[in-house]
Amino acid sequence: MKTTTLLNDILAEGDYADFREALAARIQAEARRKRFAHTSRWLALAACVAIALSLFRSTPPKAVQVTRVSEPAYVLHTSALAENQILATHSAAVIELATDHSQIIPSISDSELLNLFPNHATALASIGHAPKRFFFINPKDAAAFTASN
Amino acid sequence: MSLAEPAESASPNVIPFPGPAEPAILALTAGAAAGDENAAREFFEAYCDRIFRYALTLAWGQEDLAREMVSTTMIKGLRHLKPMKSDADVWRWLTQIARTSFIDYCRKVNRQIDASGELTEAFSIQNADTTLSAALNECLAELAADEREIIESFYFEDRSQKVLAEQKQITPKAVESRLARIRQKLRAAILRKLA
Repeated sequence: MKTTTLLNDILAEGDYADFREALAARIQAEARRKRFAHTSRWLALAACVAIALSLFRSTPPKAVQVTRVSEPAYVLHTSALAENQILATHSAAVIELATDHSQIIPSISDSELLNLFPNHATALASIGHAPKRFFFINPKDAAAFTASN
Repeated sequence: MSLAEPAESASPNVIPFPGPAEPAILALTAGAAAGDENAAREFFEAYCDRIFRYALTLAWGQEDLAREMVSTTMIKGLRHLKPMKSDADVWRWLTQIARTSFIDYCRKVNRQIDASGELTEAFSIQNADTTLSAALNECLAELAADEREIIESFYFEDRSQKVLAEQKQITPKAVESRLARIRQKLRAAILRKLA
């Protein structure tokens, strides 16, 4: 023990005491830093626990009755079509042509027809009970009028 | 037994450097590990000088290097300290850090060291104190007779500076100055021997 004291006194000669004191201050600063870090860790943990608890214990949201405001209704009015306005179709294997007798087609008499071609030889004739047919006497006229159509 | 006398036993220079009492170690290390400033200061007071002696031996008496090692060891030791049950555990832990610090230094300066011989010897914890005590003994033996007498009277015979002043018929202040001069002389001689 006495040797230790002597050795320590010998080694403490010079500026060792200043070095030692400076190092002691650094050690205490390190201790403070450790304590701060230690405390911070616990505080962070406590904060996490508090947040978790508050989330866990918070009451569930109350049921809210939602009333939907109805929009103004749109009223549609319909009217029935007349018979003649309805176009009906049906499938058929053969093409059918129907004559519409409802339309009045203008017609001319036999003489009026013949007067339409005053400078050409024309005629109306029928064979047996067949309806009358109009024809040009001169085949050139027939060809000319037919080609013009 | 006077330290200046040559030792006769098998391990003449092994002088124990006691640390804090064992039961207090756990509380001390636990407090320091938790960041208690008082415990940290107590931890520092208990181990700083011991580590310095160890570092001085390891660093071939290079005081600047020894101080750097002590700083690193004490700061790292506190930073990573865990509660420990015995002084031996703490001392083993601190000397491990000091050795690592020393090896880092050797790598930095590219100093070639004989890991199998030189360092193994120097790394022995007990050997560090033994080496220092042996150097002290040798240096004491090399002192002038009156210088050795005043040192032995003050440190080993527990005579006060006042008593020594009366014996030498000088003032206590002169005794104090003389003791300081002899200590400085011993210090320089010890560091030379460690180199």
